[in-house]
Amino acid sequence: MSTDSLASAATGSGSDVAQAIDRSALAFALAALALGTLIIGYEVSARMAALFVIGAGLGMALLHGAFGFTAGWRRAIVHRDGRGLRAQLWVIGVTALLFIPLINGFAPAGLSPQGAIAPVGTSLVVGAFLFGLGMQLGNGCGSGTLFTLGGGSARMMITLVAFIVGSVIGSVHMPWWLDQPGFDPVNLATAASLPGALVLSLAGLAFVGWITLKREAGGAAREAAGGHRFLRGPWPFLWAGAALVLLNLATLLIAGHPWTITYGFALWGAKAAQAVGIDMSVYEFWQWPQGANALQASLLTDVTSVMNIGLVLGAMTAAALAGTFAKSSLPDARSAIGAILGGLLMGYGARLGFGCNIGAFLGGIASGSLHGWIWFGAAFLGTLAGIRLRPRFGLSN
Amino acid sequence: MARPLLFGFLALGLVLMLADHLLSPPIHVGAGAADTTACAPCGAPCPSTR
Repeated sequence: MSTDSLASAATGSGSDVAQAIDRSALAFALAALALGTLIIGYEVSARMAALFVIGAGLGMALLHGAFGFTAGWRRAIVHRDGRGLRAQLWVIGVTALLFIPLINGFAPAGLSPQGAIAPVGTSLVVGAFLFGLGMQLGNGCGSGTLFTLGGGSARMMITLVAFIVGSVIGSVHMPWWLDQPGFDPVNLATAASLPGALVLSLAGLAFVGWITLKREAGGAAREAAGGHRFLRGPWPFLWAGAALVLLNLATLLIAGHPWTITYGFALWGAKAAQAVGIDMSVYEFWQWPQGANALQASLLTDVTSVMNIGLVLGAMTAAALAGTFAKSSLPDARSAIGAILGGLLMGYGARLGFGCNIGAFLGGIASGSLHGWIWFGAAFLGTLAGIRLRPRFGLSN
Repeated sequence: MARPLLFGFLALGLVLMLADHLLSPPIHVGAGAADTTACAPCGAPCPSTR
């Protein structure tokens, strides 16, 4: 099942008949969530257990809201339907209003959250382009891969494994890419003052939103009317967007940094490589303090990994409640090749580009970092190329 | 066919994560507490060395 078909299932656009609750999937997801919360709370900390639950909330919001970045961008380009993209822009804008002051000296006493602020250069541009291309072939970005996997997409098992492999290769190559032309991170709040950063960020988002509206002129799409239910879904974009903003804010305050996804994939792959005898610590990326520590420590102490697992289980809970879990069949060979290629490109691109739609696009722009905007532009170009390639892999536009 | 595979895939992921935890060095006291000097895990060198 793709993000599109999940979206259709979540919004009920394909049928008015309510699906029965999937009791076995619901039992699996709830048992894993309850056990996971207990184990993480006991073995690591209450803080990490809270982040696990926040991840589950994000997964539920993404699935019930069918909040897919990949399909949103594609619909804006191919069908001139910018609703999904504008929902993303709203989420980023509201998040920026909260994040930019918080990470620039206006956090509650005792907290000093860090923004997602990364370098700008060749690595970022190439990585984001490859990611944008890969997400159209993989049929889901970082969050999309996880929430559709939790929603029961068999194809996403393939995409995720390839994503992890690509992330490891990207981590090995990344130091070389960082040696190519580029410059240090640019925090707009430092470069243009805090109010300036807010104005620039919101004006940029408004401009992109205006372009999508202009393209829709005369044929503006409207959200389909229909019943919305909190537990069983579907959720309107407003509910899902509000949940994403609040849960990302909770992540910033509790974890000390914005919500991220793809760093965890690189770590999972590096740990798997170590398990089969490949010494990842010889590679520079895994010698940097953050990577070296993560490689040694339990995955349960890694915020990104813990939230990713919570996200999958939250999406599985939502899909089970909606009765849409695992309704797809296994992909054919052509589609599977697209999933592998898309996953590899996303994994490699996410490392070079410092994240995915969540870590770089949402997290970067909402942190007032210039790299978020460069990432958006390059990934959008990659998506244009990916859209042209999708039919070759049996994917419709 | 896809459904049992999905359950197996997800269960395997959870088991591997738990196994990694059990095989990792013990967590020191205070692990998981907010680290105010933490870097955002975007993958850039942090603290910056390049």
